[in-house]
Amino acid sequence: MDICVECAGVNVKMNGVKVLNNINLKLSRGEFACVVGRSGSGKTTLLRTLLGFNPADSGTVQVAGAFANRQGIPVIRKRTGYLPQSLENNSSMSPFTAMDIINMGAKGEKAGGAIEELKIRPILSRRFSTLSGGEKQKVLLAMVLSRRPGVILLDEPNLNLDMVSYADFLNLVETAHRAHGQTILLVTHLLDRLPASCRRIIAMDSGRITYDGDRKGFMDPKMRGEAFGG
Amino acid sequence: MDDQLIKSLAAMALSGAGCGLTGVFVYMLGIPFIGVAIAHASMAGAIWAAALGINPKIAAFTASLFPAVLSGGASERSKASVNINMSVVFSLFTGLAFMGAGILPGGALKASGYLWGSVLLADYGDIALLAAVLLSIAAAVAAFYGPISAVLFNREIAASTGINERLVYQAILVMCGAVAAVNLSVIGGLMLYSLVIIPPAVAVRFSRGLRNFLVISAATGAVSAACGTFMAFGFNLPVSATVVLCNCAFFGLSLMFPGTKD
Repeated sequence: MDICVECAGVNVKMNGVKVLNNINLKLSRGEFACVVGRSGSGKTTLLRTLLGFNPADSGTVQVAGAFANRQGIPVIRKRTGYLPQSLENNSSMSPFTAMDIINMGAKGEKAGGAIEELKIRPILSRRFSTLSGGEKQKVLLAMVLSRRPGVILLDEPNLNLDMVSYADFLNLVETAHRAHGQTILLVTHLLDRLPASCRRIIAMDSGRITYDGDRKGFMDPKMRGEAFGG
Repeated sequence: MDDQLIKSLAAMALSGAGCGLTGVFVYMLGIPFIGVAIAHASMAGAIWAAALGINPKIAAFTASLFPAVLSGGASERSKASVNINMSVVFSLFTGLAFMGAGILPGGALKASGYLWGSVLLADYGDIALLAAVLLSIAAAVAAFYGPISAVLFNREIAASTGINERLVYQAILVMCGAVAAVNLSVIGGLMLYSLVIIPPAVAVRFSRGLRNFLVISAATGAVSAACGTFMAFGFNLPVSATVVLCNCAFFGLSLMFPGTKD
């Protein structure tokens, strides 16, 4: 089995508080897994640790063939696509067009491929700041896909999206996954809106992984209750 | 046309273009206070350099880079916004500047010179320096357009793609500082702020795309500064004040036109 993402005994402290506690995780190449849990359970911290934004205090992190150390973090980031939970832009009116954003990922044929895949050609010349939430997510997804990363990390892409737009977005992610076979880790707290392609659930509670197994097993109410400390 | 008018017009147009260009960075990064902080840092550098027998222009230039570097570094450690840290740095250099103005021989006069600028004394050396800095900044932006635009859009996303976001961010702040420093002696700290802030505020409504924004902001800065200078000469008005008011008039005028449609 070709392991693409691996955490071994990872602990992360922030402001003296342990936010990730003995995380052990392995994702195979092409696997689609969802990380679920309450707010504050450590889901976002896990993604940020994989990218080196929150360095591990102990343990090892390996993503796309590189260790998350000083030399490896730039390599990881080049091979990984990331959609953060929210965009904090400084200016209310920004001149960037949708095409500008996509070109931050790649230009030419690679960008064109992502644009056609997500069917967003009609909005390319529009200013990104004027797009709807769903359109923004598609543009950002196109930026990520145009880089053709081996690993994609999505942090609660449902935020600021209505259910229809979110379903549409998930559909696009799944289509891209079927076409290109990336390893995908999707963080969400919407247990009733998990993508069909996601076969593996990783549940977190208070910085620990409390369940790591198949989707069917997680659907058992007793299992879910145990996973979330209930 | 009067030779001094030609030199003043050229100096102001180049100042306006350079400030308008880096004003885009200030606008996109949300750090409008940098102009004020840098102006006072330059003033502090010049005042103390004169007392120590060091070339005041070089000292002003060197000192002007400190707010950008210090506040960027402080933000990393304190996690407070750049504007907050810039305010602290501004206070530091304001204190140093007016300390120097108060205790050094001739300090008050030097402080006044850097606050108001001396566009009427601009010579071809100043014009050449302004042109060189403007072209250097433009070349740097062209060469590193990808990383710069990514950082201006969103620093976290830029970092997540493998860009050395901290280095690019610091370089952007240093470019802002460098442009402000070389313009300071010509246009003064008070005018500097308006030339950095107002052109991008005008340009953003009529821009689609970052390249567009950069060009329109630089052009707006150049034209508004030149118009203000021309009017000051024509009506025998203080140049600094006239340019600032002309800038504001440009902003007001721009609101009368519909912006670029989406």
